[in-house]
This record gives sequence, C-alpha cells and structure tokens, in this order.
Amino acid sequence: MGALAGAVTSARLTFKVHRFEVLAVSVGSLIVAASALIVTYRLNSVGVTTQCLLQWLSGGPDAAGACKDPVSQWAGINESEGGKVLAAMALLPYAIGLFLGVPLVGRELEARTAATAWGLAGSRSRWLFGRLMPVLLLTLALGALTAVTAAILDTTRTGDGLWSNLYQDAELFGAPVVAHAIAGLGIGLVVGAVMGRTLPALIVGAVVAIVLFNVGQQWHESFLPESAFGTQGPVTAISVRPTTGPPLSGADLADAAARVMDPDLDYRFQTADGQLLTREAAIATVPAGTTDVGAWLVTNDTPVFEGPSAALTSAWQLRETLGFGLLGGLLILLTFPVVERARPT
Amino acid sequence: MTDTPADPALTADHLAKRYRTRGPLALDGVTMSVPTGTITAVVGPNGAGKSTLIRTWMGFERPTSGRVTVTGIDPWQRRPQALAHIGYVPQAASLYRDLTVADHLALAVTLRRGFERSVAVERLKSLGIGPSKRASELSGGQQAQLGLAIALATRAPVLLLDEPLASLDPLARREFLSVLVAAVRADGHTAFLSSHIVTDVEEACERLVVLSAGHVLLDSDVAEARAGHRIVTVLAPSAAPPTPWDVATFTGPGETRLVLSRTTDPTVGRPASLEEIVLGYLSSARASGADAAAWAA
Repeated sequence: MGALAGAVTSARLTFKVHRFEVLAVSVGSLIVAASALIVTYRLNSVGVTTQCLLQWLSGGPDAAGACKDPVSQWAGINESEGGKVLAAMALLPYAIGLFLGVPLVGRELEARTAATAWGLAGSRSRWLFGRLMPVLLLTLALGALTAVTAAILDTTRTGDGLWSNLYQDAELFGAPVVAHAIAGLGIGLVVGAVMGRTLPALIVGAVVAIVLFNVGQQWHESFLPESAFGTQGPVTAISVRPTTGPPLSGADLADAAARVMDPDLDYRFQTADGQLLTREAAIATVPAGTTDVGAWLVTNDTPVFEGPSAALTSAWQLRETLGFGLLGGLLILLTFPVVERARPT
Repeated sequence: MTDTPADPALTADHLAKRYRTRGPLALDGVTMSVPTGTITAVVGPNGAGKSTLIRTWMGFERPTSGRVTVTGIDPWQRRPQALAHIGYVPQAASLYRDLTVADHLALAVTLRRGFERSVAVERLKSLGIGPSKRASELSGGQQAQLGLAIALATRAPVLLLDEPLASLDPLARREFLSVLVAAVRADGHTAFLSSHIVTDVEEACERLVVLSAGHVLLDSDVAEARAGHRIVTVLAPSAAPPTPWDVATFTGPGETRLVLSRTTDPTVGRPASLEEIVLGYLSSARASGADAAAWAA
C-alpha cells in the first residue's frame, strides 16, 4: 500500500472509530459558525447609522431621537445574541481540541483496542502519527472556521470598523482561536493517554483548559499598557494632552500628535459636520503652526473614542497564537513518549 | 540474530514482574524456553500470571527483573523488531466494535508491513465471516476467528494468544483450535496460548506449562507429562503416607481423593489425564502456600 493510500485509509478509519466526536464537534462548529453569521446579518439588517452608533458610544443604548429605536434594537442583538454566540466561540476551540484529543489514545486504552493496534504496529509513534494527522487537520479546519466567523461577528459588534477596541476580544477571533484548538487537542491527547479513561480525562482536560483560559485572560490584561486601562469609550480632553515634556511645536504635526497621543492606543475624532476621523485623518486637519495640537484636536475634532490600537491587538494576537500554539504542540509531542510507555490493558 | 531450528522462539530467564512497588509478584522467577515450531499452552487459574507472561513477550510490560526474548530479541529493549516477529491475538474484547471485518483488515494493512490481506480474507471466507459485518455484530467465536485471521496474516513466526478461548462455546473452541493447529503446522510457526481450561488445549498442544501465583509448576512435553504421571485413588487421606514422588492429593469426581504421582511405574494406579496432572500441580501449589503467600503479600 502506498504512503498516500495508507494515510487516506488511516484517516478514514480514525474518523470512523471516533465518528461520534468528529460528528459532534463538526456539527457544533457549523452551528456556532452559522449562528455568528446570522447574528452578523441581523445586526447589519437593523441599518443603524454611524451617527447613531456614535451616540450609543457616548450615551449608551438609550440614545435619544431617531436613533433610539435602531440603536436599542442593535444594542439588544449585540449584547444578548452576539454576546452569547461570542462566548460560545471563546470556549468552542478548546472543546473541539478536547473532544477530538481525549479519545484518540484514551479510548484505545479504555476499550482495550490498543492491544490490537499496538500488537500489529511495530512503532507506536508511527501508529499515533497516523491517527493524529487527520484529527489535527480537522482541528485546524474547524478552528479556522470559528476564527473567521468570530472575526466577522466581532468586527460587526464593534461598529464595523467604527472603532477598533477589538483588543479586548483579541483572543476570540483570528489565529489565536486556532491556537486554542491546538492547545485543547494537546491537553486532551496527553490527559487521555495518561489516564486511559475517556470521561474522567474529558473532565480533567476541561478543568485544565478552563485554568489555561483564565491564565490567558490574565496574561492578556497584563499586556495592556497602563494608559489603556479604563479608557475604552468616550475620551476627555485630558487624554490627548501631554502631561509632561516641553511645549509642543507646531512645526511637525505628526510628531506633535505622536507626543500627545499614546502610540499604543487608537483614537477616533468626530468633526463638527459629523464625520468620523481616524487618528491620522484628524492630525491632517490640524492647521500648520498650531502650537498645542492636543488642545486643537479636542476643541475642533471631538475625540469620541480611544482604545488599544490595531497594532497592539495584532501584537497580542501573535503572542497568544505563539503561546498557545507552542503549548499545544509541546503537549502533542509529549504524548508520543507517554504512548510509548503506556501499558495496554 | 539468525533463526536456526535450535533457537528457542521464546525464552524467559528468571523473569519476575511486580506491578506495584509493594504489591505481590505476578511472575516470580519464571524460566522457560519455547521451542520453535511447537504449540505450547500455558494453563493456570485466573491471576496465575499467564497474561503477564504473554504481555512481557509483547513488550507491553517491563520485567521487574530477569529477561525475556522473542526469537532472540529483547522486546522491551527493541520492541518494534520483536513485534515484527509476533502475531498477537488479544482477548476477544480487543476488537474495534464499530469497525467492520474489512475495516479491521484495512487497519492491519496500514499498521503492519507485509500483512497479507488475502490470507486473512481466505480464512474468513472459509469460515463464513462476511467483510461488511461490524465486530459488535460478530459472535464471540467469530471475533476470535477474526483476531486469529489477522494474526496469521501477519506471517509472523511466533503467535501469542492471550486467553483466545475464554469466551467461546465448545464448538467455537474446537473450530478455533483446528484453524490454529492447521495454520501453525502448515507454516512451521510457533504458538503459545494461555487458557484456564485444560481440556480445550489437550488435543492441540505439544507442550504444557502450568503456572500458579507466578511460579512455573510444570513445563513439559504433553506426551512426557502423560507418560510420567499416574493417579492413585485413596479411600481415606490417611490410609497411606505420601511418597516422595507424590505431587499432591486432590478431590476427584464423586468426592474421591486422588493422588497424582510422578512415576512411570505401570503398577502404580492408572494413567493420569492432562486435566488431572494440572489439577494435581495446582493443588500442590495451594498446599505449599504459594497462593497464600501471594495473598499475604
């Protein structure tokens, strides 16, 4: 049998042996992904305007006037349905990894089929590799599906680019989601192999994943610059004024702006005619020769929001992805010596 | 190492196995060698150490002390090489319940280099076991036959069978053993199987090992064992003192007291059946306290 045909057969049999878990996580992932897209569609269908969302940002969901109803509807969907779906998406990658990882070795030991498989296979590592590859690919695929749909939902939930405080949700979309799934797979694999019992291993694995999830949250918050704490949402004039340093020269506006605005934070400014400007666009509106850039911006372009920047979000996502991905990879590798030493019953 | 007819297929040299640090010895100083081309049965009560011995040859268990070899290879040190020489039949419950017969063969092809699927297919076809049946739908006998067909199709020179008859009805046992004997005789392979039912293996095996509480009580050619033991029926246990060649006194059918004697003297009693020989040795172990020692430990 050729290597490719062998790999295909091995994948088919692996999925058949673990078809309950494969079916459960696949259907679960599809349902959650579909839910995310439905909520996104419902949010977009409300047709709430940028102006209204800005009101909501400033005054909450009880914005007055014509915005009241659409904002209220939008905020309701966002908080209830959007929040629930996103919460499910936060746990889903761990669940995918655990459900697929635990039985891969754990059930073989529990059902005593390990004796058959390991008696036939000269190398247990080769056996594990053959079993692991299709499951790893499925984990990556389902993790990617969750990552993409979560990004779509979260972008919509945060105003469709209106503001960029995605930092708080940075671990809920994109590459970190896939890394969480790999970490879950690693935890499930190694715990299943050590315990040799599916249900107890699933419980222990879930506890470990929850601890890891919380450690990740703490780590995430510790990565946030001090200046960003408590500054999500509307800002005051003080936020864009230098507290120390020499008086600002208007000769170089970009430099001056950089000195009055925290480079780790992102800003949005609303002009008198209702336009929403990014940091760069707002700086461009400052007249040459302005001596106090911060004061000018506060006076002329009302700052409506500040929060961690897209660059900071990306940097965190990279850390989260590397951290959890490496952890998952190490745990997966650790399973090989565990399996080599395991005692089939 | 090159296999020669003189090389034993399986050896155990002062093998001891303890599962827990302060637990009893599952195997205690077992020394034996299984000649190439023979069918050997290891019999003994549950917990005698039969499965532990087979699992040690499989490289599933690490000896606490002593050494085992499979065709000269230490399976703990060089497990892949040793396993390449072994066809293994675990207990019937070791099949994948949801995989079909064909799936099991496909699995074996992916796991074992040189697995001859056609050999297994022919055997299963002759037994009327269809490829599309799931393992959970097979009878105990059919499951055992599937396990045996897979082991035989590996073309391994050594077959290790762990209680393959335990869950089979008498007809299925007979069928299983006839397939095993025919295959082993045809290929000149070596088979070592464990059982706790002597009558099952009596016809099939040339060699017999009696194991109790981790000790080898008898390791002999079946014909020699039969020729070298006789049974004396005693009316009262105290009627005659035990002689040095008496193995043990045990209860026979109808509450009769039987003495197993290690003698070839045709004037002494009657020839012993293999079951009586095994019962005698197991009774001797119980009387000598091997089992009690295991309990105490």
